[in-house]
Amino acid sequence: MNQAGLHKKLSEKLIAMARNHPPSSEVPSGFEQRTLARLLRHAPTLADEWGAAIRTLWCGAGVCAAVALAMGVWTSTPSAAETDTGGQFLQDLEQTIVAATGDSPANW
Amino acid sequence: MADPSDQKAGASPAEPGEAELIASVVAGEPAGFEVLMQRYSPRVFATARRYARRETEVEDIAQEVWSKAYQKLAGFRGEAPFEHWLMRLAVRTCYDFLRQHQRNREASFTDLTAAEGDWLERFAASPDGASEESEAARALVDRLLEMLSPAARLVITLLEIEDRSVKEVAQLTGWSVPLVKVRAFRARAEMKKCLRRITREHYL
Repeated sequence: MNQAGLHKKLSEKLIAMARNHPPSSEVPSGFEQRTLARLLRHAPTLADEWGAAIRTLWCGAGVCAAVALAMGVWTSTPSAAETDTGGQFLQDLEQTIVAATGDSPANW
Repeated sequence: MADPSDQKAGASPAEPGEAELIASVVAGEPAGFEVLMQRYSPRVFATARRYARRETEVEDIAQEVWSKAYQKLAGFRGEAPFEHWLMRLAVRTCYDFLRQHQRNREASFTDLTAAEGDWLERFAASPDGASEESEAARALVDRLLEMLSPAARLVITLLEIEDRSVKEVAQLTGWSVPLVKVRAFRARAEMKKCLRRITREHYL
């Protein structure tokens, strides 16, 4: 048998050997209890995850409410410069409306 | 004779079904998870022992598989049997283990033991006569598998040793079918190279 044939035969023999000797499926004693205890100690339960998600949403809602309140206060108490600009705007608006009304054919 | 692990995996009519157990765990009752572990740990351990030799490593892999299963259980849709879903997790965890321990492969390239060398010489003299039952032959198989790259070892184990189809390997590994074929081709070439290396000094 040539070298390539011998290698092929060896490869087949080793693979067949591995196939005929599957590894043990034995589970070490107390494995399930140890693993579960470790999981419960380290990993949060699914109920805890839901609780954490709800708490995060509540915190988010609080922050949103605070931001909305701050924006409301800020917009309702404008600075002096903004007041002047706002007054000017109101005058311009009034003039435009009055001018339009004064020019309308109904007043003729 | 029925495999005891199969008997353990199958639930009797009096025992709660998989779907009920999973629902109870998702609802926050971890006791059901212990029952799932008792049913399927033999399969997880057998899979882990294909890729890790030390018992401490095997147990670490099994713990990692169950830890992932517990964390991802809420995402289990029940479209495939729980066992298939779990075996996918197990195979992927074993692959991660092989990749993490890739540096240890160098140790496998050291010289063969005297018993392994003797077995090879007996094989060279009479290929059909060399015993498959000897400890040295089994050590040689382990050595050969340890010399392979993680992807090659996974593919050879699943395709050649466990005799699975390409489609099954694709499902277990999460690789596409063409990728499995490419990796299988490369794995066989890699195995030939490793065999040449092992047998160089034994006139094969």
